[in-house]
Amino acid sequence: MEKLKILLFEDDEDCSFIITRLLSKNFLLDHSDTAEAGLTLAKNTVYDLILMDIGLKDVNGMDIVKKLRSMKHYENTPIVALTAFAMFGDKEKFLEGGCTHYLSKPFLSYELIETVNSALKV
Amino acid sequence: MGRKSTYTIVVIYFIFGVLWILITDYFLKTIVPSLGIFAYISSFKGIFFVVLSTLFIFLLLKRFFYKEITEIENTDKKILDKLQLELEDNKRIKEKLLKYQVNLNALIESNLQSFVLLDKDSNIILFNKSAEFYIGKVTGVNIKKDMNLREILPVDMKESFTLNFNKAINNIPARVEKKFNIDGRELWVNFIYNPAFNKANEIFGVIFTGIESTERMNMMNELKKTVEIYEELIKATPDAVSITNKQGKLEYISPVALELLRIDDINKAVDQPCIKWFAEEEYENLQSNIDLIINHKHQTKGSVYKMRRDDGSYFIAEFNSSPIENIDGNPTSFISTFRDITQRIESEEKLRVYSNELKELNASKDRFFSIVAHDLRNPLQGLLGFSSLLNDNFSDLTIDEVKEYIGYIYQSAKKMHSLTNNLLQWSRIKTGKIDYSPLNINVYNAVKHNIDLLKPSAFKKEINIETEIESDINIYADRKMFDSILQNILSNAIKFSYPKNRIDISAEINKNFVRLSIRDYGLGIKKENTSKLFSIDTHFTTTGTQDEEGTGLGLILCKEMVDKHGGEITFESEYKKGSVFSFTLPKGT
Repeated sequence: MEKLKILLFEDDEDCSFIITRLLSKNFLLDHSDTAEAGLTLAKNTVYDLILMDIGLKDVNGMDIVKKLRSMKHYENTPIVALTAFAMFGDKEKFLEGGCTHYLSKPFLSYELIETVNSALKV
Repeated sequence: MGRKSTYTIVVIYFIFGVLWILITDYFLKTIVPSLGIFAYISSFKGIFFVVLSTLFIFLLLKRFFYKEITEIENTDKKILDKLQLELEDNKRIKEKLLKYQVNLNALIESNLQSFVLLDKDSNIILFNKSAEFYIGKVTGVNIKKDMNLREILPVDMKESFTLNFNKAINNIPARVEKKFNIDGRELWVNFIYNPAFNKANEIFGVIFTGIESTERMNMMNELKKTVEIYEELIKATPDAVSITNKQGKLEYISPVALELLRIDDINKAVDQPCIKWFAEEEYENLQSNIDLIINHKHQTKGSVYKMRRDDGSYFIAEFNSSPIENIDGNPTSFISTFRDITQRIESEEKLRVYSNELKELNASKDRFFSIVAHDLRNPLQGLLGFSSLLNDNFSDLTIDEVKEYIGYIYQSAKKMHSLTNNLLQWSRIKTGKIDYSPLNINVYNAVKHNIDLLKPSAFKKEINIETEIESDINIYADRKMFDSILQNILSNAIKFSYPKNRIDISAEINKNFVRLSIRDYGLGIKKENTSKLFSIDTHFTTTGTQDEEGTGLGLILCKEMVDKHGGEITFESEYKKGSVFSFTLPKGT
């Protein structure tokens, strides 16, 4: 069976290293630390899941979500909001803005794997 | 004599004529009896002649004299009629006079006024019943005509009477108010002494009148009491009270107002333009408000003016004013109450500042929580993630991998440490809990000390730090804060410098401050990011030329600390050319 493809937007090195380490066994994972590069990747390849860090340094992850949702391939693709914004009301804001799942940082290894699995329904 | 007399003349003539003929005929018959029948015939002829002549005379009279006679008769009648009219006139005048006298008597006898007419020696000429009654009550004497009034007056009245009587005699009317106790009733009487003139306009005596004025005096007393109550009220009220007339002159000013305006002499205020007590910038506003009150009968409430005391100092007062209308309903003046609200305004201002401070503090606190919640989560993720990788996969990892992960864990912990330190420092400054003890610091020595501390990181990038500071410049600042500010800015300069760059530090005195400038020739700041540098809300951070990371709080902290010293922090920057950060601190001694 072919591996499912995941695109990760994350500009924190430690974070992206850990996520790559945790997911690359079972999935094909591409990583981008800028909005521009990530969107180019998304245009060229159809991914089954997007992991989106909302607090990117120079852009709000929700803007990228908006752009992705306007692309035909990604109308219904599951998007996991991966963020350190964990104040009251943040989760609802992201889900309304187009994300399908929400995982707050810091997360434990199994929490990430469980969320990804449930988003991909595997 | 008229028609009647005409007839009388004619009849008399006729009777005499007939008698004359009969008598002459009778004598003729006796003397000459021979005449016989002829005598009678002659008598008839005579009588016939008389009748004819009578008729002739009658006609003659009627023709020539009748008219004249009628005229004379008419004239006589007219005179008679006139006489009769005159008689009737006289009668009417007499009635009028009588009526007049009755009226006059009624006037004189009216009970309201006692009236005595006196001659030059104060002998009574005329008096009314009221005078008789009251003088009787006071003196115990029943006054009569020709009695001397002065003589019968009680001793205590005599002097005043003589004085005022003499005045009136000399054509100076006099007036005296005196209290009596008549039949157990307190009575006020107003005595008036007026000169009495005769037809030749000479003073022949004095008209002495007494009018009871008890009611008026009672009213006056009531009025006086009311005025006293108002005066007490005005004295008791904490507000200043003033009355100003149409022309803007003060008519009344209360003691509180005098005290408020620090006026030591009431004459400095009363009848003086009220504008004197206002600040010059208020004149126009004041004029239009007076116009509004006087000409449009407006009540003004809560008008605020800057006022000037007599000693030249100023205060802020709040005014309430209402027009005072005269009997016609036209305002001629206005009453104002005013109070010093300088303190209130100051308190309000303080409250506003305090409230703003609180708001800011609350916003800072919110920001603090959000930073703690957000920024600490990333390094914690590293800590948690790598330690869990080590924990779960230790046996599968090579020794190099383990070493690498441990290195990451250490970096994350360090990041968390510096972030928590900065956050704590920032919150301490924000809540005023930071220790602030300024002292004189030599700038040259202090800069040198901080350069030494940062030498390792500068050495790594082969950066040369040069100083241009006079050795005698001192600042008056908190040592810890100064070190913190300089280290923050200097480490930024190193962070954003390209390897082998230079950094210049200079100091110059500018009035009461010393300006320190740190110039680098590195990355610089993009224009769109310049506004984010000192703002906690945007919490902006960029990595250095060799990906050195920061907390994004350093410059914010610097600004807080410079502010604490009353100085300012500024910067100039050009992207990819470098930046100059300058800050000022108080000059030391």
